[in-house]
Amino acid sequence: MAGTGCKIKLESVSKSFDDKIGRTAVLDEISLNVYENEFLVILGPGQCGKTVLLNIIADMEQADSGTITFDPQSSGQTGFVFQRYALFNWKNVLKNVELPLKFKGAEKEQRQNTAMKYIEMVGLKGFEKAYPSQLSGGMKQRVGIARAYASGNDIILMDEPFGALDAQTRYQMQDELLKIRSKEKKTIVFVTNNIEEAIYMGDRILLLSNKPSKVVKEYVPDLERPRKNTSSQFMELRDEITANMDLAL
Amino acid sequence: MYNEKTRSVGMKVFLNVSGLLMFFGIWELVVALGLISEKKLVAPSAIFMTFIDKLTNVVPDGNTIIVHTLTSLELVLIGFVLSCLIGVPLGLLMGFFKPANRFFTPIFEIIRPIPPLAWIPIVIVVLGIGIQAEAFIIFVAAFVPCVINSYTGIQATSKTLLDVAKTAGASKTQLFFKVGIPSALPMVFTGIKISFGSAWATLVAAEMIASTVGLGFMIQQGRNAVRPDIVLLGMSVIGLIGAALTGLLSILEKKALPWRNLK
Ligand SMILES: Nc1ncnc2c1ncn2[C@@H]1O[C@H](COP(=O)(O)OP(=O)(O)O)[C@@H](O)[C@H]1O
Ligand SMILES: [Mg+2]
Repeated sequence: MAGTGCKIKLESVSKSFDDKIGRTAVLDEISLNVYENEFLVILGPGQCGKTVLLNIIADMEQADSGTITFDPQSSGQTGFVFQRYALFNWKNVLKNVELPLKFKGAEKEQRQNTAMKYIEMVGLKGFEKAYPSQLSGGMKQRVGIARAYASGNDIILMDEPFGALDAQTRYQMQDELLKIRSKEKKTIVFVTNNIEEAIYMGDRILLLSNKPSKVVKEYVPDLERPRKNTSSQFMELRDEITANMDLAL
Repeated sequence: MYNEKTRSVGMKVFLNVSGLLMFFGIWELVVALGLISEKKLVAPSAIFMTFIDKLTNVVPDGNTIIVHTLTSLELVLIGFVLSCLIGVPLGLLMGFFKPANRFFTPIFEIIRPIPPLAWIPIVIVVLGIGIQAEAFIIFVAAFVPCVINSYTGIQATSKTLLDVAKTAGASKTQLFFKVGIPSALPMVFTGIKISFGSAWATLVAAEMIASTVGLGFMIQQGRNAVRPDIVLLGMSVIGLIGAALTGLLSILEKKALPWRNLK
């Protein structure tokens, strides 16, 4: 890839699954670029294939066809934040955050220092020894975010990270994530089915259709941060996206 | 909060104790009122007297209750520990690695439905009469639940957690030891507890293999000597020790899995 600051390039990525009703096409020739240090939101209705798309980028699933190219400067590995937290119940917060580094073979001391840095960054200092079952949903996802950052990868994929949280916690976590992001530059691909969240968070928004999903539109919200969902530009953009977004099947 | 908690603990203990008291009270009464003849059913108080007597008296079965109990415990522990040592790793391997699953499952599925007691004749021929044969019967009884629970437990490992570890660069061996086994541990413990139950419950049958000592043997001798008090004493000791050791395993489980009992 010519040094255009393009971190990930997807070209004509397609994916189908065999199921009871035969073969279902989920991704239909999806092409997109993810640029360095941007906050890219992938917005789409439920069941349209957002998780499948992220899993393919993270190499947890294989595409049927198409190519995914990473910036040669990048390791090609990604940090991942899961909707349902995906924490190790038998490990405390510190051990959970350390884990990716442990599998990479990092020294104990370096592992701990890195993990502590990010635990502090997500506001969980003092909870290092707590187990996931002792944490609220919001706190669990903070652990998830700390783990993704601590992995040391410069690309972080987030799959509806706040989808399981109540509205209040969700707003709080959105602000928290933007704060974290302003402290440490990373390339973030953030998946959501929530239009307001997309506009509130994204530098750029790619709208997906129902499956077999395609990229139907790109939006670049020209709004000052912190964005206000009561501003007229915000609401205009929201209406426009609403008009173009499929209803979930 | 504190008060509510202590009250509910107090309530629990009260219900536990009153359940036991009622059980033994009714039993005692049934015998005291002569509803069932003393020759057929012995009252708890009489069993207790026999217990005191059997602490030193070797009649009619040749040994004190202490010797019988220790012998039985040793026998069961040998069979049980062996079954855990072999059954748990086997179940874990079968549940995690497909080739191991394909290789072992057919054999296991054939062995599984055979009742432990059906092994007695062949075991006597192969291992002879003695503690090895008896321990083997107990081993067989304890083996199956160990394997099944470990197998089911590790198969239920969250795919997402495996993905988390995989994307972080974990090897297949690391996935097994760092993700599979820890997530299977609660089920493994359930299996171990069930195994212990089966092992202990098979004791009397195992000691039918020409034992000359042990709680099962004592019960047999009590029956031959028409001593219902000895029979019931043997049953009571088996029941009490079984309950106590199962409780001990539960405590061990809590200690080994501290993250499970939080909140
Ligand atoms: N492993 C699979 N086998 C069969 N179908 C699948 C599989 N994974 C996903 N799908 C299908 O792909 C579609 C998109 O799923 P997903 O990516 O989870 O949607 P979402 O956009 O809500 O994240 C769903 O209809 C789902 O049934
Ligand atoms: Mg999804």
